[in-house]
Amino acid sequence: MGELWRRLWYLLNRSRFEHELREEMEAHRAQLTSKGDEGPRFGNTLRLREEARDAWGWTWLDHLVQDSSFACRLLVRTPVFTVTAVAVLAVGVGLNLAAFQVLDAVALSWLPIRSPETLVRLYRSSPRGSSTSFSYPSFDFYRRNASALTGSIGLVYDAVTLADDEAHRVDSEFVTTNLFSDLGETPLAGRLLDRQDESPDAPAVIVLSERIWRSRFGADPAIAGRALRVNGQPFTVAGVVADTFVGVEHRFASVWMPIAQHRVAFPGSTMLDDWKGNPVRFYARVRPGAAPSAVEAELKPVVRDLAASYPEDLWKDEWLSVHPAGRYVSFAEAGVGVALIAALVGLVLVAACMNLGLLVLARTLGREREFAIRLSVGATRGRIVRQLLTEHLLLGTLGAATACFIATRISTAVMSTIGSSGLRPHFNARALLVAAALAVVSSLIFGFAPAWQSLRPAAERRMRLRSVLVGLQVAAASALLIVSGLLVRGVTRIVRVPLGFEYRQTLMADPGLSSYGMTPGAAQGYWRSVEARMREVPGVRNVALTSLPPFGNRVTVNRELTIFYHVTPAFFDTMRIPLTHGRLFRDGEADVAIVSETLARRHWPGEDPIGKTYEGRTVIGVSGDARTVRINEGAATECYMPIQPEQLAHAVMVVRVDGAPARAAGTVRAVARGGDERLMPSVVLLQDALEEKLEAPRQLALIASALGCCSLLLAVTGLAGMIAFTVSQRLREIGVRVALGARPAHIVRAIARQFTRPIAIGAIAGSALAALAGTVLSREMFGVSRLDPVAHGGALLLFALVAAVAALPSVRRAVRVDPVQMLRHE
Amino acid sequence: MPENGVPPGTLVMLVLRVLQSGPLHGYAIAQRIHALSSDVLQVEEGSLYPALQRILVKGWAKADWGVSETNRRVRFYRLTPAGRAQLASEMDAYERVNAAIRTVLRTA
Repeated sequence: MGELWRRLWYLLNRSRFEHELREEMEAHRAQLTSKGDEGPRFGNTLRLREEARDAWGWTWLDHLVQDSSFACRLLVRTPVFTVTAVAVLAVGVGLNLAAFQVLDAVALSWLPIRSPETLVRLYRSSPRGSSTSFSYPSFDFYRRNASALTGSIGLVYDAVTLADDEAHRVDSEFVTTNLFSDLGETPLAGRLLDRQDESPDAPAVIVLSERIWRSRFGADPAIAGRALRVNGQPFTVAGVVADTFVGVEHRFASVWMPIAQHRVAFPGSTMLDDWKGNPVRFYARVRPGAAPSAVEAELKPVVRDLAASYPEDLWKDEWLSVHPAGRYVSFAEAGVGVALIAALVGLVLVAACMNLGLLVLARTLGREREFAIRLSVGATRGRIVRQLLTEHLLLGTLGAATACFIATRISTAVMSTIGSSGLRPHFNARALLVAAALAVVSSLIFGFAPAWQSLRPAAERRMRLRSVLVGLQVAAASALLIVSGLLVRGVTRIVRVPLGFEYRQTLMADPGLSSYGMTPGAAQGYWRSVEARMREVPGVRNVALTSLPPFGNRVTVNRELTIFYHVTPAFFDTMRIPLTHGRLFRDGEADVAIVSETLARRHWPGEDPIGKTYEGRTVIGVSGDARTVRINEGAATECYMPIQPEQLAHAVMVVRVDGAPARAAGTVRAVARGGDERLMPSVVLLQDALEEKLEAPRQLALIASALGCCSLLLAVTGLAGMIAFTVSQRLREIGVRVALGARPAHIVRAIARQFTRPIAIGAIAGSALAALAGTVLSREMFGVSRLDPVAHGGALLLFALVAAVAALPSVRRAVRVDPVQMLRHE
Repeated sequence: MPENGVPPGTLVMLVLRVLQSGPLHGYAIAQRIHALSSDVLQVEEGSLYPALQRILVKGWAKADWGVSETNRRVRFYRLTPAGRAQLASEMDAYERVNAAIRTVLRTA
């Protein structure tokens, strides 16, 4: 039995051992007296017994129990204080914990798949840049010949229609059939893909996501084996995969099909033999513990072999780079966002701690009499500080426990708004550790200073501490409020600033010609007939083609972020983008360009841009600025060029109509099929596409506003509490002042003087802090300006207003002091 | 005859030493130290019991209830092998320090 066990044994049986000790010491004393020895040497038996007990090593526990039970009694006796403090802490700690849980789920945890540590993603790299997209033949070559890679997974994104709703497309992935088995996924119903599905004569099969199975097929238990038309082609449902499946990326597809059957869904597809197109995302397994650089070295000869056979399809000095892919995002990728969010929620915690600091300070100052008594009956200062720290730790623990309950809810809500269905935040051991650490750190922060202060009686020092707390709190709260103001203003600016074109009356039709392997000639024939027929539809004002779908994710830019569009001349009228200068394209023109006003001003300030050369093309016209693709990028400029036959297979059509565009959607879709039975065009209202695009910035602004409101509330309650306390402490003095003839204005000024300086300094510091955060933000998000006077001024004004309202009751109390009563009280 | 307290730090060693010849109860331990030191060392009873508790916790001795020569229920402390080892090492250390002090006193 080790010493620790013996100590525990003593702890567990302490009443018995204590009894024995007493008996033994009494016997000793009896023997002493019977020998005629004088007794006093034995002294105070209780004290001696306590000293003997110290040897067991549990005195600290005794003190802890005493302190805790005393603290509990105190907290129960002041329920308002306790509830406020716990609520304040729960908000501060809860937000931080929620942020950590999101980070944990996203960047610290492995993906919930088999052996995530050996999963890598392959990039094509060269000294000039890198790409994540491979052509299918090159992927197939590496899959067969690279011995360093096992379980190669290839994915091709596309969008398909399902039989029950052919007007809308769903996200789909064409995948190598080892995807599910390699990641260790089992079916929810039916079966997932297997090797046979990849053979050329295998029947076409499709795997549904649980989400779509429930929402569109009524969770039919007999779904496996059912026939389902995909893009109008006959497929059979193989099975259903649970929504907890996250795949290799966060993008969550609705359906999966074998990559070999792309040509079944898209008759005419040449993807499997096409060396030019690069649609394949490439993942694979490497040996456990293999360093990426070692695998890259092993892959070099294979790339050389491929380059020898197909030199024109590889870049010069191309190699394969290997990137670990077992986590949702790498920590480095998450970097800036994590830092920003950590700073924001950290500020809330600071505001919460300072708020509590003020509350606790007011409370400890009111307990001076108690401390004086305890000191005079022999308590040491250390013991009193320990008592106070125990109280604060208890509060911290209560707050953190409450925070644990709300944190998981917050993080789950956040995760579902950022749209990653497969990953859910968990309350795991790491989160518990963080919660405990936050509880301890925050209780030390808000508790230590007041505890220390309460033991040093110098009045002016106490004031200084109070001012520091007030200042810090105001700084944190106003910084948060300003940052949220900056974000909200940024989002409204995206919405408010005219986009420069007409989207309310416009629809977009995308037949996805390239997926069907259409040649430029076939695409030209298709568009010619569809455009002509579309113009004849009553209510259609104009029709045009563009290489970049409005509000889409496809974009071609150069170094100065100019976006290149290939369009038909009718694009400007259809989208209502004004041509301010020069002329439109003519048939057969190729090397000409129309540039946007900002681009023209930036390149040829004060000159006529017509006839100038931009990127090797002659400028023939100037158009109004129009943010059709990157709505949240103010720096982007536009350059339009005539669409060429080879771009037609990738083009989409925009149609402007009279009246409600939703009513025209059916007709537009029917015309866009163009008599080709294979085609399943999608038709979208630009208004809807815009709403979708604005979702993310709106959510960010909403989260930021919620944070701002939280900290505003915290700061104001803290301030109000502090002012109320100060007033109640100074009531007597105020009574004297009133008796000596002070008017209300004097009294208000006397109270205000105590708080104006720390509040002013705090507000300035908060403004500076927000400007700093705004600098980072403005780099990430268009529309945010770090010195936005409306956001800074508005936030500070709001803060001042709310604080003034909160202080009103105490000020009123001070002004209405009855001097006679006060002095009599004395 | 002047009486002296036990030098600090040596009480545990003295207790262990007197227990070496057989189990004793608390009062007897104090008496034995007093007697063996020719009435020079006086064990403060107040410090004896904390020391005994420490010895028990460390596992250097075990305590069993028994009846004393004056027919009282008392606890007899019995040295354990760990206690013997501890005694040996403490005596060793004490000898070394003591010899060193003597040398200093003689030669300085």
